Amino acid sequence: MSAIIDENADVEKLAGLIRLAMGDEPPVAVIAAQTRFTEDLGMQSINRLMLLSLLEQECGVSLERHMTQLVELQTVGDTARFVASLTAGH
Amino acid sequence: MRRPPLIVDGHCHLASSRCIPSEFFVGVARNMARKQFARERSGEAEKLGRVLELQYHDHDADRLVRKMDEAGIARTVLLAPDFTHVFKSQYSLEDMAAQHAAVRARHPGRFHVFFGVDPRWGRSGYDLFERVVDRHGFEGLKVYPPCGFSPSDERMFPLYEFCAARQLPVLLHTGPTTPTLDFSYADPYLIDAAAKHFPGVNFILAHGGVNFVEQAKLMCNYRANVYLDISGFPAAMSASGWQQHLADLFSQGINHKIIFGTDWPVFSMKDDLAAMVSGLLEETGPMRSLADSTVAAIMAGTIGKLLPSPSVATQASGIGPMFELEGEKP
Repeated sequence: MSAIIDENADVEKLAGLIRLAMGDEPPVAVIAAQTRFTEDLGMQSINRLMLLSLLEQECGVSLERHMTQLVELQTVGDTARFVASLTAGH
Repeated sequence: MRRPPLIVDGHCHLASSRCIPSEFFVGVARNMARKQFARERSGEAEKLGRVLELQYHDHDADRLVRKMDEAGIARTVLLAPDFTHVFKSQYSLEDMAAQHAAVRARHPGRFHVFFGVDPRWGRSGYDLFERVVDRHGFEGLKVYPPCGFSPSDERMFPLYEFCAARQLPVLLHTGPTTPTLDFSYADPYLIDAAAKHFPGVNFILAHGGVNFVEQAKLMCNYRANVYLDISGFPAAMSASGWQQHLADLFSQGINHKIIFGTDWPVFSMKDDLAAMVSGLLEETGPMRSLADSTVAAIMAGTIGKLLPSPSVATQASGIGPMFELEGEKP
Protein backbone atom coordinates (compact mmCIF):
# COMPACT_ATOMS: atom_id res chain seq x y z
CA MET A 1 0.00 0.00 0.00
CA SER A 2 2.79 2.40 0.89
CA ALA A 3 4.42 1.67 -2.47
CA ILE A 4 1.24 2.79 -4.25
CA ILE A 5 1.07 5.96 -2.21
CA ASP A 6 4.75 6.67 -2.99
CA GLU A 7 4.21 6.09 -6.69
CA ASN A 8 1.26 8.45 -6.71
CA ALA A 9 3.40 11.07 -5.00
CA ASP A 10 6.17 10.55 -7.56
CA VAL A 11 3.71 10.92 -10.41
CA GLU A 12 2.24 14.03 -8.84
CA LYS A 13 5.68 15.59 -8.44
CA LEU A 14 6.53 14.76 -12.05
CA ALA A 15 3.18 16.19 -13.18
CA GLY A 16 4.15 19.48 -11.58
CA LEU A 17 7.42 19.52 -13.51
CA ILE A 18 5.60 18.66 -16.74
CA ARG A 19 3.28 21.64 -16.25
CA LEU A 20 6.33 23.85 -15.81
CA ALA A 21 7.95 22.36 -18.89
CA MET A 22 4.81 22.98 -20.94
CA GLY A 23 5.10 26.70 -20.21
CA ASP A 24 2.36 28.67 -21.94
CA GLU A 25 0.84 25.64 -23.64
CA PRO A 26 -2.82 25.00 -22.75
CA PRO A 27 -2.88 23.41 -19.28
CA VAL A 28 -3.37 19.66 -19.13
CA ALA A 29 -6.27 18.65 -16.89
CA VAL A 30 -5.18 15.15 -15.89
CA ILE A 31 -1.69 13.73 -15.77
CA ALA A 32 -1.64 10.11 -14.64
CA ALA A 33 0.89 7.30 -14.61
CA GLN A 34 -0.23 6.00 -18.00
CA THR A 35 -0.19 9.42 -19.68
CA ARG A 36 2.12 9.50 -22.70
CA PHE A 37 4.35 12.50 -23.35
CA THR A 38 3.82 12.84 -27.09
CA GLU A 39 0.47 11.27 -27.90
CA ASP A 40 -1.48 12.44 -24.82
CA LEU A 41 0.29 15.62 -23.75
CA GLY A 42 1.43 16.75 -27.17
CA MET A 43 4.86 17.57 -25.81
CA GLN A 44 7.23 19.00 -28.39
CA SER A 45 11.02 18.67 -28.33
CA ILE A 46 11.38 21.92 -26.38
CA ASN A 47 8.99 20.64 -23.69
CA ARG A 48 10.90 17.37 -23.38
CA LEU A 49 14.19 19.24 -23.11
CA MET A 50 12.76 21.52 -20.45
CA LEU A 51 11.47 18.51 -18.51
CA LEU A 52 14.86 16.81 -18.64
CA SER A 53 16.48 19.99 -17.42
CA LEU A 54 13.97 20.22 -14.56
CA LEU A 55 14.55 16.58 -13.60
CA GLU A 56 18.21 17.39 -13.24
CA GLN A 57 17.57 20.59 -11.33
CA GLU A 58 14.75 19.46 -9.04
CA CYS A 59 15.39 15.73 -8.65
CA GLY A 60 19.15 15.57 -8.94
CA VAL A 61 19.07 13.22 -11.93
CA SER A 62 22.44 13.08 -13.70
CA LEU A 63 21.69 13.62 -17.37
CA GLU A 64 25.26 12.73 -18.24
CA ARG A 65 24.71 9.25 -16.82
CA HIS A 66 21.06 8.58 -17.56
CA MET A 67 20.09 10.44 -20.73
CA THR A 68 20.04 7.25 -22.80
CA GLN A 69 17.42 5.66 -20.55
CA LEU A 70 15.41 8.84 -20.01
CA VAL A 71 14.78 9.53 -23.69
CA GLU A 72 13.39 6.02 -24.15
CA LEU A 73 10.69 6.51 -21.50
CA GLN A 74 7.34 7.36 -23.05
CA THR A 75 4.95 7.62 -20.08
CA VAL A 76 4.77 9.65 -16.91
CA GLY A 77 4.61 6.52 -14.73
CA ASP A 78 7.68 4.89 -16.28
CA THR A 79 9.62 8.12 -15.84
CA ALA A 80 8.47 8.59 -12.26
CA ARG A 81 9.49 5.03 -11.40
CA PHE A 82 12.86 5.46 -13.06
CA VAL A 83 13.58 8.70 -11.20
CA ALA A 84 12.41 7.11 -7.93
CA SER A 85 14.72 4.14 -8.48
CA LEU A 86 17.65 6.51 -8.92
CA THR A 87 16.72 8.37 -5.78
CA ALA A 88 16.47 5.09 -3.89
CA GLY A 89 19.88 4.15 -5.17
CA HIS A 90 18.71 1.06 -7.04
CA MET B 1 -1.72 -0.38 -47.00
CA ARG B 2 0.86 -3.10 -47.58
CA ARG B 3 4.33 -2.29 -46.38
CA PRO B 4 6.83 -1.96 -49.22
CA PRO B 5 9.28 -4.85 -49.54
CA LEU B 6 12.20 -2.61 -48.63
CA ILE B 7 12.57 0.63 -46.68
CA VAL B 8 15.71 2.76 -47.01
CA ASP B 9 16.03 5.97 -45.03
CA GLY B 10 17.58 8.46 -47.45
CA HIS B 11 18.37 11.15 -44.90
CA CYS B 12 19.75 10.46 -41.45
CA HIS B 13 22.61 11.50 -39.18
CA LEU B 14 24.72 9.85 -36.54
CA ALA B 15 23.47 11.06 -33.17
CA SER B 16 27.01 11.88 -32.17
CA SER B 17 28.22 15.11 -30.65
CA ARG B 18 31.58 14.39 -32.29
CA CYS B 19 30.00 15.19 -35.67
CA ILE B 20 27.99 18.27 -34.73
CA PRO B 21 29.70 21.23 -33.00
CA SER B 22 28.28 22.78 -29.82
CA GLU B 23 27.57 26.08 -31.58
CA PHE B 24 25.08 24.27 -33.78
CA PHE B 25 23.17 22.99 -30.73
CA VAL B 26 23.22 26.34 -28.94
CA GLY B 27 21.70 28.05 -31.98
CA VAL B 28 18.91 25.49 -32.15
CA ALA B 29 18.33 25.76 -28.41
CA ARG B 30 18.22 29.56 -28.54
CA ASN B 31 15.45 29.43 -31.10
CA MET B 32 13.59 26.74 -29.18
CA ALA B 33 13.82 28.75 -25.98
CA ARG B 34 11.94 31.60 -27.64
CA LYS B 35 8.91 29.36 -27.75
CA GLN B 36 8.96 29.32 -23.97
CA PHE B 37 10.24 32.78 -23.14
CA ALA B 38 9.54 35.97 -25.07
CA ARG B 39 12.95 37.39 -24.29
CA GLU B 40 16.31 35.72 -24.22
CA ARG B 41 17.17 34.70 -20.66
CA SER B 42 20.80 34.59 -19.76
CA GLY B 43 22.20 31.08 -19.90
CA GLU B 44 18.91 29.45 -20.95
CA ALA B 45 20.03 28.60 -24.50
CA GLU B 46 23.33 27.20 -23.26
CA LYS B 47 21.49 25.10 -20.68
CA LEU B 48 19.05 23.67 -23.23
CA GLY B 49 21.85 23.26 -25.77
CA ARG B 50 23.73 21.11 -23.29
CA VAL B 51 20.67 18.89 -22.71
CA LEU B 52 20.16 18.64 -26.46
CA GLU B 53 23.79 17.71 -27.01
CA LEU B 54 23.63 15.02 -24.32
CA GLN B 55 21.23 13.08 -26.53
CA TYR B 56 23.93 12.85 -29.19
CA HIS B 57 26.02 10.12 -27.60
CA ASP B 58 25.15 7.24 -29.93
CA HIS B 59 28.66 7.37 -31.38
CA ASP B 60 28.66 3.83 -32.78
CA ALA B 61 25.02 3.86 -33.99
CA ASP B 62 23.92 0.93 -31.84
CA ARG B 63 20.81 2.80 -30.75
CA LEU B 64 20.10 3.92 -34.31
CA VAL B 65 20.29 0.35 -35.60
CA ARG B 66 17.89 -0.74 -32.85
CA LYS B 67 15.48 1.99 -33.92
CA MET B 68 15.88 1.03 -37.60
CA ASP B 69 15.03 -2.57 -36.74
CA GLU B 70 11.92 -1.48 -34.80
CA ALA B 71 10.82 0.60 -37.79
CA GLY B 72 11.63 -2.04 -40.43
CA ILE B 73 14.27 0.15 -42.07
CA ALA B 74 16.79 -2.05 -43.84
CA ARG B 75 19.41 0.54 -44.70
CA THR B 76 20.08 4.19 -44.00
CA VAL B 77 22.01 6.97 -45.66
CA LEU B 78 24.14 8.70 -43.04
CA LEU B 79 24.89 12.32 -43.89
CA ALA B 80 28.06 13.86 -42.54
CA PRO B 81 28.05 17.62 -43.22
CA ASP B 82 31.26 19.60 -42.88
CA PHE B 83 30.84 22.36 -40.28
CA THR B 84 34.55 22.64 -39.57
CA HIS B 85 35.01 25.77 -41.70
CA VAL B 86 32.53 27.78 -39.64
CA PHE B 87 32.39 26.16 -36.19
CA LYS B 88 35.19 25.16 -33.87
CA SER B 89 35.34 21.46 -33.18
CA GLN B 90 37.77 19.24 -31.37
CA TYR B 91 37.19 16.60 -34.05
CA SER B 92 38.58 16.95 -37.57
CA LEU B 93 37.00 15.91 -40.86
CA GLU B 94 39.37 12.95 -40.88
CA ASP B 95 38.06 11.96 -37.44
CA MET B 96 34.50 12.19 -38.71
CA ALA B 97 35.31 10.06 -41.76
CA ALA B 98 36.97 7.44 -39.56
CA GLN B 99 33.98 7.39 -37.22
CA HIS B 100 31.52 6.84 -40.07
CA ALA B 101 33.73 4.13 -41.55
CA ALA B 102 33.85 2.43 -38.16
CA VAL B 103 30.06 2.56 -37.90
CA ARG B 104 29.77 0.91 -41.33
CA ALA B 105 32.18 -1.80 -40.29
CA ARG B 106 30.34 -2.35 -37.00
CA HIS B 107 26.97 -2.70 -38.74
CA PRO B 108 27.71 -4.30 -42.13
CA GLY B 109 25.16 -3.69 -44.85
CA ARG B 110 23.15 -1.15 -42.88
CA PHE B 111 24.66 2.21 -43.83
CA HIS B 112 25.60 4.31 -46.81
CA VAL B 113 27.58 7.49 -46.14
CA PHE B 114 27.40 10.83 -47.95
CA PHE B 115 30.37 12.84 -46.77
CA GLY B 116 30.66 16.63 -46.71
CA VAL B 117 33.52 18.92 -47.65
CA ASP B 118 33.33 22.72 -47.48
CA PRO B 119 34.53 24.04 -50.87
CA ARG B 120 36.64 26.69 -49.14
CA TRP B 121 39.09 24.00 -48.07
CA GLY B 122 40.14 23.92 -51.73
CA ARG B 123 42.65 21.31 -52.78
CA SER B 124 42.96 19.71 -49.37
CA GLY B 125 39.19 19.26 -49.15
CA TYR B 126 39.04 17.73 -52.61
CA ASP B 127 41.83 15.32 -51.79
CA LEU B 128 40.14 14.34 -48.56
CA PHE B 129 36.85 13.63 -50.33
CA GLU B 130 38.59 11.54 -52.96
CA ARG B 131 40.41 9.67 -50.20
CA VAL B 132 37.30 8.83 -48.17
CA VAL B 133 35.49 7.59 -51.28
CA ASP B 134 38.43 5.39 -52.23
CA ARG B 135 39.35 4.23 -48.76
CA HIS B 136 35.99 3.92 -47.06
CA GLY B 137 33.63 3.48 -50.00
CA PHE B 138 31.51 6.51 -49.12
CA GLU B 139 28.78 6.85 -51.71
CA GLY B 140 27.82 10.50 -52.04
CA LEU B 141 28.62 14.13 -51.33
CA LYS B 142 26.79 16.10 -48.65
CA VAL B 143 26.70 19.86 -49.22
CA TYR B 144 25.72 22.36 -46.51
CA PRO B 145 25.29 25.76 -48.20
CA PRO B 146 24.10 27.61 -45.04
CA CYS B 147 27.73 27.43 -43.92
CA GLY B 148 28.14 30.37 -46.29
CA PHE B 149 28.38 29.43 -49.97
CA SER B 150 26.10 28.80 -52.91
CA PRO B 151 25.81 25.18 -54.05
CA SER B 152 26.50 26.54 -57.54
CA ASP B 153 29.68 28.29 -56.39
CA GLU B 154 32.37 27.32 -58.90
CA ARG B 155 34.57 26.20 -56.03
CA MET B 156 32.16 23.24 -55.77
CA PHE B 157 32.69 22.23 -59.40
CA PRO B 158 35.78 20.04 -58.93
CA LEU B 159 33.83 18.04 -56.38
CA TYR B 160 30.86 17.74 -58.73
CA GLU B 161 33.19 16.70 -61.52
CA PHE B 162 34.52 13.94 -59.29
CA CYS B 163 30.95 12.91 -58.41
CA ALA B 164 30.09 12.76 -62.12
CA ALA B 165 33.04 10.47 -62.81
CA ARG B 166 32.19 8.17 -59.91
CA GLN B 167 28.40 8.39 -60.34
CA LEU B 168 28.00 9.71 -56.81
CA PRO B 169 24.82 11.59 -55.88
CA VAL B 170 25.03 15.02 -54.24
CA LEU B 171 22.64 15.87 -51.42
CA LEU B 172 22.37 19.51 -50.39
CA HIS B 173 20.61 21.05 -47.44
CA THR B 174 17.72 23.40 -48.25
CA GLY B 175 15.61 25.49 -45.90
CA PRO B 176 16.24 26.85 -42.42
CA THR B 177 18.77 25.36 -40.04
CA THR B 178 20.43 26.45 -36.83
CA PRO B 179 20.14 30.25 -36.56
CA THR B 180 23.89 30.51 -36.16
CA LEU B 181 24.15 29.83 -39.93
CA ASP B 182 23.07 31.75 -43.03
CA PHE B 183 19.63 30.84 -44.42
CA SER B 184 20.09 32.86 -47.62
CA TYR B 185 22.10 30.05 -49.22
CA ALA B 186 19.41 27.48 -48.48
CA ASP B 187 17.14 28.20 -51.46
CA PRO B 188 16.57 25.21 -53.80
CA TYR B 189 16.91 27.43 -56.89
CA LEU B 190 20.58 27.99 -56.04
CA ILE B 191 21.39 24.51 -57.34
CA ASP B 192 20.13 25.37 -60.83
CA ALA B 193 23.43 26.49 -62.37
CA ALA B 194 25.28 23.44 -61.07
CA ALA B 195 22.49 21.07 -62.09
CA LYS B 196 22.56 22.54 -65.60
CA HIS B 197 26.35 22.38 -65.78
CA PHE B 198 26.55 18.80 -64.49
CA PRO B 199 23.68 16.89 -66.12
CA GLY B 200 25.41 13.64 -65.20
CA VAL B 201 25.23 14.34 -61.47
CA ASN B 202 22.04 13.66 -59.53
CA PHE B 203 21.28 16.35 -56.96
CA ILE B 204 18.93 15.72 -54.02
CA LEU B 205 17.26 18.70 -52.34
CA ALA B 206 17.29 17.72 -48.68
CA HIS B 207 13.97 18.67 -47.00
CA GLY B 208 12.69 19.77 -50.42
CA GLY B 209 9.31 18.22 -49.67
CA VAL B 210 9.05 20.31 -46.52
CA ASN B 211 10.89 23.63 -47.05
CA PHE B 212 10.56 25.95 -50.07
CA VAL B 213 8.34 23.26 -51.54
CA GLU B 214 7.16 25.27 -54.54
CA GLN B 215 10.74 25.88 -55.71
CA ALA B 216 11.84 22.33 -54.93
CA LYS B 217 9.04 20.65 -56.82
CA LEU B 218 9.52 22.93 -59.85
CA MET B 219 13.20 22.06 -59.89
CA CYS B 220 12.31 18.36 -59.72
CA ASN B 221 9.74 18.65 -62.46
CA TYR B 222 11.91 20.56 -64.91
CA ARG B 223 15.49 19.51 -64.14
CA ALA B 224 15.96 15.84 -64.96
CA ASN B 225 18.80 15.42 -62.47
CA VAL B 226 17.17 17.07 -59.43
CA TYR B 227 15.35 15.09 -56.72
CA LEU B 228 13.96 15.96 -53.29
CA ASP B 229 13.58 14.19 -49.98
CA ILE B 230 10.80 14.53 -47.43
CA SER B 231 12.99 14.48 -44.33
CA GLY B 232 11.66 16.71 -41.60
CA PHE B 233 8.06 15.96 -42.55
CA PRO B 234 6.74 15.83 -38.96
CA ALA B 235 7.64 19.53 -38.69
CA ALA B 236 6.08 20.65 -41.99
CA MET B 237 4.48 24.05 -41.46
CA SER B 238 1.02 23.40 -42.85
CA ALA B 239 -2.36 24.40 -41.49
CA SER B 240 -3.74 21.07 -42.67
CA GLY B 241 -1.04 19.00 -40.96
CA TRP B 242 1.95 17.11 -42.33
CA GLN B 243 -0.15 14.19 -43.56
CA GLN B 244 -2.22 16.36 -45.90
CA HIS B 245 0.86 18.36 -46.85
CA LEU B 246 2.56 15.18 -48.07
CA ALA B 247 -0.62 13.87 -49.71
CA ASP B 248 -0.69 17.08 -51.76
CA LEU B 249 2.99 16.66 -52.66
CA PHE B 250 2.39 13.07 -53.76
CA SER B 251 -0.35 14.19 -56.16
CA GLN B 252 1.81 16.45 -58.34
CA GLY B 253 3.35 14.04 -60.80
CA ILE B 254 6.86 14.00 -59.38
CA ASN B 255 6.74 10.86 -57.26
CA HIS B 256 9.60 9.38 -59.28
CA LYS B 257 11.73 12.21 -57.81
CA ILE B 258 10.71 11.85 -54.15
CA ILE B 259 12.86 10.08 -51.55
CA PHE B 260 11.86 9.02 -48.05
CA GLY B 261 14.00 10.35 -45.22
CA THR B 262 13.62 10.84 -41.47
CA ASP B 263 16.33 13.32 -40.50
CA TRP B 264 16.94 11.23 -37.37
CA PRO B 265 17.87 12.17 -34.65
CA VAL B 266 16.35 15.62 -35.09
CA PHE B 267 12.85 14.49 -34.12
CA SER B 268 13.85 11.71 -31.75
CA MET B 269 12.39 13.51 -28.73
CA LYS B 270 9.00 13.62 -30.42
CA ASP B 271 8.72 10.82 -32.96
CA ASP B 272 10.50 7.49 -33.03
CA LEU B 273 11.54 6.05 -36.39
CA ALA B 274 8.80 3.42 -36.07
CA ALA B 275 6.19 6.11 -35.47
CA MET B 276 7.40 8.10 -38.47
CA VAL B 277 7.27 5.09 -40.81
CA SER B 278 3.89 4.00 -39.47
CA GLY B 279 2.52 7.50 -39.89
CA LEU B 280 3.47 7.45 -43.56
CA LEU B 281 2.19 3.95 -44.30
CA GLU B 282 -1.00 3.74 -42.22
CA GLU B 283 -4.33 3.21 -44.00
CA THR B 284 -5.36 6.83 -43.57
CA GLY B 285 -1.85 8.20 -44.17
CA PRO B 286 -0.55 10.43 -46.96
CA MET B 287 0.38 7.48 -49.20
CA ARG B 288 -3.09 5.93 -49.13
CA SER B 289 -3.87 6.76 -52.78
CA LEU B 290 -0.55 5.65 -54.22
CA ALA B 291 0.11 2.43 -56.13
CA ASP B 292 2.29 -0.11 -54.34
CA SER B 293 5.03 0.42 -56.91
CA THR B 294 5.06 4.17 -56.22
CA VAL B 295 5.26 3.63 -52.47
CA ALA B 296 8.11 1.18 -53.02
CA ALA B 297 9.97 3.74 -55.13
CA ILE B 298 9.59 6.55 -52.58
CA MET B 299 10.48 4.36 -49.62
CA ALA B 300 13.56 2.75 -51.18
CA GLY B 301 13.66 2.30 -54.95
CA THR B 302 14.62 5.80 -56.05
CA ILE B 303 17.49 6.33 -53.60
CA GLY B 304 18.66 2.83 -54.53
CA LYS B 305 18.91 3.86 -58.17
CA LEU B 306 20.89 6.98 -57.29
CA LEU B 307 23.52 5.15 -55.27
CA PRO B 308 26.61 4.20 -57.27
CA SER B 309 27.32 0.67 -58.27
CA PRO B 310 30.27 -0.55 -56.16
CA SER B 311 32.55 -1.05 -59.15
CA VAL B 312 32.22 2.57 -60.28
CA ALA B 313 32.37 4.18 -56.84
CA THR B 314 35.58 2.45 -55.84
CA GLN B 315 37.42 2.54 -59.16
CA ALA B 316 41.05 3.59 -59.05
CA SER B 317 41.60 7.28 -58.56
CA GLY B 318 43.53 9.48 -60.96
CA ILE B 319 40.71 11.44 -62.53
CA GLY B 320 42.14 14.79 -61.45
CA PRO B 321 40.00 17.91 -61.37
CA MET B 322 39.59 19.92 -64.57
CA PHE B 323 38.52 22.93 -62.56
CA GLU B 324 41.02 25.06 -60.73
CA LEU B 325 41.15 24.44 -57.00
CA GLU B 326 41.93 27.02 -54.37
CA GLY B 327 45.38 26.53 -52.95
CA GLU B 328 46.63 25.06 -56.21
CA LYS B 329 49.23 26.72 -58.41
CA PRO B 330 47.84 27.90 -61.75
